[in-house]
Amino acid sequence: MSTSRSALTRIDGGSEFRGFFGMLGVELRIWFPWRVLVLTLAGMGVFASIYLPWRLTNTNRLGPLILFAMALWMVVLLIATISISEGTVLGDIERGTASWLVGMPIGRPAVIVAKFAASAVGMSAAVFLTGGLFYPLLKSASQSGIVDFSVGQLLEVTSAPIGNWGAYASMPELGTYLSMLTAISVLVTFLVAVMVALGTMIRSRTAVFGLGIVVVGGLVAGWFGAREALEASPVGLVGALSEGIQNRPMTVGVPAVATIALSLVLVAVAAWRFQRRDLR
Amino acid sequence: MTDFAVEIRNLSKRYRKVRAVDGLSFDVEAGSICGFLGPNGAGKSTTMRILMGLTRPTGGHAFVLGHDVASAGLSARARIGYLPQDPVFPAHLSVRGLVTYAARLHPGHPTGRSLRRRVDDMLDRVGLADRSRRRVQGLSGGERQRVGIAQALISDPALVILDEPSAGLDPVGRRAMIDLIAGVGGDATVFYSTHILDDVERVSDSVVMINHGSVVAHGPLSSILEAKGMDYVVGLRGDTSDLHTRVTAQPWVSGLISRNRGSVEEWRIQVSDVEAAARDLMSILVAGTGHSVIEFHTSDRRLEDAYLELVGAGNDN
Repeated sequence: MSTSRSALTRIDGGSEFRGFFGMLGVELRIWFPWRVLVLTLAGMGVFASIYLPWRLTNTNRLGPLILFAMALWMVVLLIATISISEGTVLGDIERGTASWLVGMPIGRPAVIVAKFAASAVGMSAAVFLTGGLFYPLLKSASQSGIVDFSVGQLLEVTSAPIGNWGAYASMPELGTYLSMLTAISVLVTFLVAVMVALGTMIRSRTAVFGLGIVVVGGLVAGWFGAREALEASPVGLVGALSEGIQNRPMTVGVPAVATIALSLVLVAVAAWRFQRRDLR
Repeated sequence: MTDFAVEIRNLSKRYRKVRAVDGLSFDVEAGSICGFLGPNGAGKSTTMRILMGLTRPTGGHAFVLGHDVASAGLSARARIGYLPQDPVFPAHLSVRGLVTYAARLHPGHPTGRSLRRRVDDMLDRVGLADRSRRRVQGLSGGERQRVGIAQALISDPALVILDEPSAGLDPVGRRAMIDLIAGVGGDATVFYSTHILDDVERVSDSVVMINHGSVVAHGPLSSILEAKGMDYVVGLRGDTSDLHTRVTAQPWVSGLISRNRGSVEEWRIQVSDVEAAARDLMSILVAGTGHSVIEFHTSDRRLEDAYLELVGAGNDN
């Protein structure tokens, strides 16, 4: 035992981010490949549930159905994000895994940042994989001229208020489509940051889940009520998505940067809170 | 290097109105195997969690391997192997994955083939070589404890802190755990909590006993047992009521436990002044009529006796 001790017991001050990469690797293994695959399959399932009936009935109303599928996918994605990330920190604290982990020579901020980063990367990978797999489907439908749709058709399908969209929309260009996926991925990352931060402040997983839903509701309400005032925020990303889906020019840059900055602030707050928390 | 692996000075921890730890002070000598004893709720786990930086004290200081846990906990933890009470490990990892992960979280860890060899050796040492690919969540309680020991020892720590490592183990598992602890002693300091006093007697050189968050006894095991005096075992026949009164009236008799063994009444007489007992006890026993002494010998004091005397028999809640 003593022969290798000198190599193993080198002590040096120690940054609070010591152990970050080791932990990130293990956290990413939670996401890749299975969790990402399951989320991707769930997303594809949403699209398939819309696309396959159309193929069977040969109706020409694919356009609004696709839009409905996109909306449904967003809902599924946001709920999945909330469900998974509400336990990212709080679940580990409740189970006791956090106590074991923090007993290791790893800084508490490193724990929080690694968990956040792994979740953000995993969710984003699922977004781009689903979007990437669905794009050829959309494109082929678009080339056969059946993706164009009217708001009237959309209202028939969704019966939902959809704002001041134009009369017709068509398949987004690839650049726009990628911007949309980026916007979705940044939104999801923001939601992960919210859930991680809430997990360090609140001791009830139900309450954290509920507040996550409230935040999503707040984003949608902000989009309906004050989209111009809140453009440099996650609400701006929701607005950008609605533009993109109508194949209009999107302003992703400013809201995306603001959302990423806000996410980082939330992660910093989470790290600070977790640093002060007693673990059992 | 400091002479003490653990130094605790006036340590306190309050949870709202509850004082979990109340002005605790003790040291654990480097290189020793120290048993940390006390009834449930005495503050053992809280103290260990403070040492590991999991809980912040509300008063006092704790030093581990010379590092103040409040300001240099990360540096201290780099040299500590820790097994929490009822450990919960990341469920998605295999036994090998968990031990490798634990090794990698320590600075200056071996890499590549040398890390794999080290993990192999450790799994072999704790008897889990044939379970290395199994997921941690599928292990039995005993196997999980052994994985816990493996991850605590993989970094070749200078101090090993084990919170009730034998809890929930069957007798064979418990014996294996104690052998592991004994095997670590000498290379590293071992500070462990337990309720199994036989195990402490078997492997520990020192003991810290706490109750209601305060130290009630602390020091080498032998000195704690000696300080608590000696027992005499006496076998008697006949009427012993007068004799009982005379014996218990002696100032150096700290207790007398009586039980019937067929026609023989057996007394375990606890004496606080060994010299006085050696001088006077026999003459008191043979004086008087109506009874006869058929057995008389001394008995080594057990840790359990000292524990019950210091902590109180009815304290374990």
